[in-house]
Amino acid sequence: MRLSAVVNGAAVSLDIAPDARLIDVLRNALALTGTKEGCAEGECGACTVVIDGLAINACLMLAAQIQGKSVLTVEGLSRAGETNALQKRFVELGAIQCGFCTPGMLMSATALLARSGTPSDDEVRRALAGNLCRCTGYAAIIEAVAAAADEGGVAT
Amino acid sequence: MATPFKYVGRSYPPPDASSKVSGALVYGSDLRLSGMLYAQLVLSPHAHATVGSIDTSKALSVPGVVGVYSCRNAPSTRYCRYRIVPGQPGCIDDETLFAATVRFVGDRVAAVVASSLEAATTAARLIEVMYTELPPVLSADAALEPGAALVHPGGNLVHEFDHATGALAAMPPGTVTTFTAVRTQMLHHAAIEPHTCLADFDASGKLTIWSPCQSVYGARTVVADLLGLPYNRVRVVKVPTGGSFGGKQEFILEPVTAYLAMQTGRPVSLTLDREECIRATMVRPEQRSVIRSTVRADGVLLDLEIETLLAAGAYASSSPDYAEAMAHKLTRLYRVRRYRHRGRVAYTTAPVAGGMRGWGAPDIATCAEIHMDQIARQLGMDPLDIRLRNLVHPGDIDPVTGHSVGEARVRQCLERGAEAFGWRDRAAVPPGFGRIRKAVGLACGAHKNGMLSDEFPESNTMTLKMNEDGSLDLNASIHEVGAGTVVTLKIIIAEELDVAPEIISAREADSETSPFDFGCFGSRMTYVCGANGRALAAKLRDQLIEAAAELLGVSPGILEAANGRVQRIGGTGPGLSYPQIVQGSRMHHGRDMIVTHTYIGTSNPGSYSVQFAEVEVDVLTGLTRVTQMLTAIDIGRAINREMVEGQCRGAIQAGIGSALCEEVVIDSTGRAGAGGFKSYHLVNAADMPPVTVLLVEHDGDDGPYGAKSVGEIATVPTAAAVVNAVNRALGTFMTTLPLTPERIVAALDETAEFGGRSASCA
Amino acid sequence: MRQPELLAPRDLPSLAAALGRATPDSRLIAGGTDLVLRMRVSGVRPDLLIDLSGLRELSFIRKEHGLIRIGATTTFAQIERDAMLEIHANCLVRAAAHVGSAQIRNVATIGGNIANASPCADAIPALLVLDAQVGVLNRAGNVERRPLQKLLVESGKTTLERDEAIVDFSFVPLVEGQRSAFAKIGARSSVAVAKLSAAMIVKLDEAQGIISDAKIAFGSIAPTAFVDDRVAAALRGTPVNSGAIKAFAEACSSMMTRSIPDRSSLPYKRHAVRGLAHDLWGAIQGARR
Repeated sequence: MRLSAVVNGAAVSLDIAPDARLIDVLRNALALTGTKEGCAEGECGACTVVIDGLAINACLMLAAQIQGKSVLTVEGLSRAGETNALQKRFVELGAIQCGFCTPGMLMSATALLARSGTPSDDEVRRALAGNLCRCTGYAAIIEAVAAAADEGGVAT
Repeated sequence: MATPFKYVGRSYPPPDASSKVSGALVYGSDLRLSGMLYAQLVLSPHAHATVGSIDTSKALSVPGVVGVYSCRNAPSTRYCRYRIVPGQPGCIDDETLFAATVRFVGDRVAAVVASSLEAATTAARLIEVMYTELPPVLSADAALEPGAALVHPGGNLVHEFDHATGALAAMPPGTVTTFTAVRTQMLHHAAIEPHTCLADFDASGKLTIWSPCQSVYGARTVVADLLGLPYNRVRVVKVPTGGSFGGKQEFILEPVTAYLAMQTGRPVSLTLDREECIRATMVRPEQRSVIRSTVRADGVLLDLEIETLLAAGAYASSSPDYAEAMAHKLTRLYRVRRYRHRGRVAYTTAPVAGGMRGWGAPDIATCAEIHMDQIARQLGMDPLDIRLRNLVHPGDIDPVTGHSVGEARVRQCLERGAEAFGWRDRAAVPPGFGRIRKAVGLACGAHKNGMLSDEFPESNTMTLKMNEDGSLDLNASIHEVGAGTVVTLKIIIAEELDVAPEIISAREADSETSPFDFGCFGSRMTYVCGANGRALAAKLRDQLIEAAAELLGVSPGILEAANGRVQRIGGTGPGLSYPQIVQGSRMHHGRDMIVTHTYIGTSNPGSYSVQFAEVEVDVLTGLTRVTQMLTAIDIGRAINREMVEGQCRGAIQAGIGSALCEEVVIDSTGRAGAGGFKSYHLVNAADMPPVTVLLVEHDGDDGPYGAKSVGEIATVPTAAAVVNAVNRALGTFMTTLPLTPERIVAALDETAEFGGRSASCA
Repeated sequence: MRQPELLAPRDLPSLAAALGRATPDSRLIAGGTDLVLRMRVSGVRPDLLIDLSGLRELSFIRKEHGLIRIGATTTFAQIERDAMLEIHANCLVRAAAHVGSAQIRNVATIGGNIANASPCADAIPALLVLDAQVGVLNRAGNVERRPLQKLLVESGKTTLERDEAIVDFSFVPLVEGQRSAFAKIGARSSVAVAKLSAAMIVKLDEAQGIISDAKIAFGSIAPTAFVDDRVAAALRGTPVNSGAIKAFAEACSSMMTRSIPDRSSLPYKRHAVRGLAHDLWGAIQGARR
């Protein structure tokens, strides 16, 4: 079937199998490998993308379900090669070690900050509860999200 | 935070941080090569069986399938996934590419290679394998029973040892003997990046492997030996690793992926899913230890005797060394007059055990620290005081290895940590009788700095060159697993040469071009490789000074290097910038600024951590919340402050998980890992407690600027601190990890039965 | 294996038409969090996928004709944030808040939760105590209302035919004097499948300070969630103060022993259910309905 959607602000149109997973279409057909596969069962959040402002696991969605929708992946956070405030805070505040959970964390945080410009510490933790990290112990990530929120959030 | 250095001791993000946040960094499973094929493994559904007929006809007729491989058409040469160098002792060659006898649920039976992962997966499901089941052997105890089914023909006992050291002239009066049996569980390393490997055998007969491994030279040795290729026809390139924690240290996917590439003559990519990672890569072994100690009436340890039984799983791999490692930790931590440690390692028809962060130190520390709390309880002593009675002092000789523990500042960790945590006051508060019982616990741990021992030499070779513009290229077999190794080396070199770390370029290991290093394990990266980085930079600085002296026509003895220049000591007179020296030396004297240095390890001091936990246990649901943790680390010198702290926090996340909720459970058929992360729970952002990190920086050992290791030691005492806190909260004595709600409720019900503090509440 | 056909109906008539084409190998998909995983694990490709995620007509939360009606494709994130449900069906809002992670709640639908019929489905106990009626659409385009308990057969199975789809849930909103609660115990505090769950509605006699009526449903115990009349009976007439909690907790524990006498998890569950009882009890002390 033909899929027409907007990915990172650009219109895409391609043939997909009706039961293709969104994560596979993003990573393979669209070569957007920033979205990672960590578990294939919606538990680790490494595949989190933002669709219509909502954080969603791309491994549990059919690509067909983004027909006519707008999807934001980690590659779409930078504008003209310049990282945004949230990405910068991650880099500056020690929120990155191996980096594999980072795209998913950024996308969950992006959705959170778009909805709530000044989330409490508990709200940040809850928003990130579906994003697993094995390296950082989460504290620096939460701090980076809070710092980005203090600066006025991020546009999606 | 103040640091006496220009670069060392500050905080730096990893150099590839910007490509990590932009999504541009290419990990192993992101690699796409022209003509690349995808592999899917067929894994055994049985714990123990012989493989009969394998019907591949349906699989081969799936469009896109290029080949199907199994014991029917692949070589049956045996190898050891743990080997790094030829002739390495302690390596048992008992594994084959594909099993003719499957020895655990998850053993490799076949592999399909196809033009798409979908085709490979579809075909894999169509392979029909006939098995003749054999009796499973699901525990180490069962494996060593007379009449147990043999996992391998040579018997189920893989390794045993009996190490004793010290002596007791006579037992003084009034001693107390304590006996504890502890079981630590099978764990999944749970790196968020699944296992992956890419291999290509090109037309010239050269095999290239791209792997997120911890030793490119080890992968080269194992694969080249297995496939009969010369070492210089096998190139292993380290690609970015999305976490490992030891799980990618052993060569699990490299041999089979390389074989498939050789057979097809095309690049082959193999990535496992989460269940396959849990079941079919490696697990931290299940082990049981029984500890018997005798202490003086004042709590001084006289005699410590331990018996360990460890389940190796289906293949021996690193388990013999792992068990031995467990016997080499406690005498770095406590002074004991007599220490005896007996160990047995048994094959089981269960997932293959392998090293996990800490490599036996967390396992034995968990046993020992629960035991120490038990001694304290028996003597009516504060758990803090029993440690103070027995912890090593700097300069003590570890009787097991004969090596000095070096600048062992574990006492400072305990004292400063206890003060910062408010231990005395908080430990005196009773848990009460409400639904939520609150208590604190502590534990100590020791680990090491590198592999140096009487059996293992330590060395590392690197090359550093300076370009005409002053920028630097480091050529070293660096294996970055996320712990900041690359940036650590840059900071050390930067400090020594007095240049900004950003002008140093360092690529990760490539067995074709970077000089030999054993790999990233054994807490050797900073202490050994970092030490070489410092020596190497000093050597380059000397070369720059000599070259400047020649260009300036003066004696090198009157020159010094600072701020990217060489000039007279005291700063007067003409000098030359580094770029000027490089350019001048090349054009006038035909010399390049390039040095190679081999560092030979000279010591292996202890690394230490003392950790404090506060927990709240719900006596109705059995759920435990860790509400606070404090970790004190004897770091020697923090090279990259924020990374040291970050490593401590991640280590605690893993330690809490191992105390309370992580366990690879084997069902009655021997199957592990069913349900992936739905069943195997990690501590998530909602449950992670606040962690205070306290660094004790007392240098003096041989590491660069006095630095010692952090990545592994930081997770050594965590589980024990949490377990000790829970036992103190409930008045229980649980010694089987993890302390799941079910185990806690069972312990409470048992305590209530025998008239102890019950779980009932108002 | 052939690729499935995919139909994405945009209104109820086209959904009915799509249902008319369904075979036993066809599947409905809404949020996809259950089905996409199952398809990957089993490797089975349906012949037809009917994608409900674009059916805006079924994404609603309304109060009409004295009833609250929730469309089947309403997500748990939407339910969790609904101010009207917070007041008039608090137990359902609390259940929604306990579903998975933010990513799961953003797409998982209430209709999918019931149709998937996991014994641990978070929404079912709440809908049972609310006496929810399930609106079921058939291929002819007719919507029939059935009580929820009638739909639940066994673990993973409902009475829905291949050519039927849930379109909405309706129930009478809670009124003054009624309080509702939901509690769940998992292996950890968040993002966990329920080992025990329950929803409860009590009617209070404020003047006397006693519970005049109660209804309680338990999940994750039996193959389907169920309403338990004996525990509810134990609650009726008891005072709303801390003294009565013990009897309530014991009644829940007895219910557990009664329900799963041979289950290996009984020792844990009959003890831990007291925690569930305390959590429910604490929740009804508050002002929320």
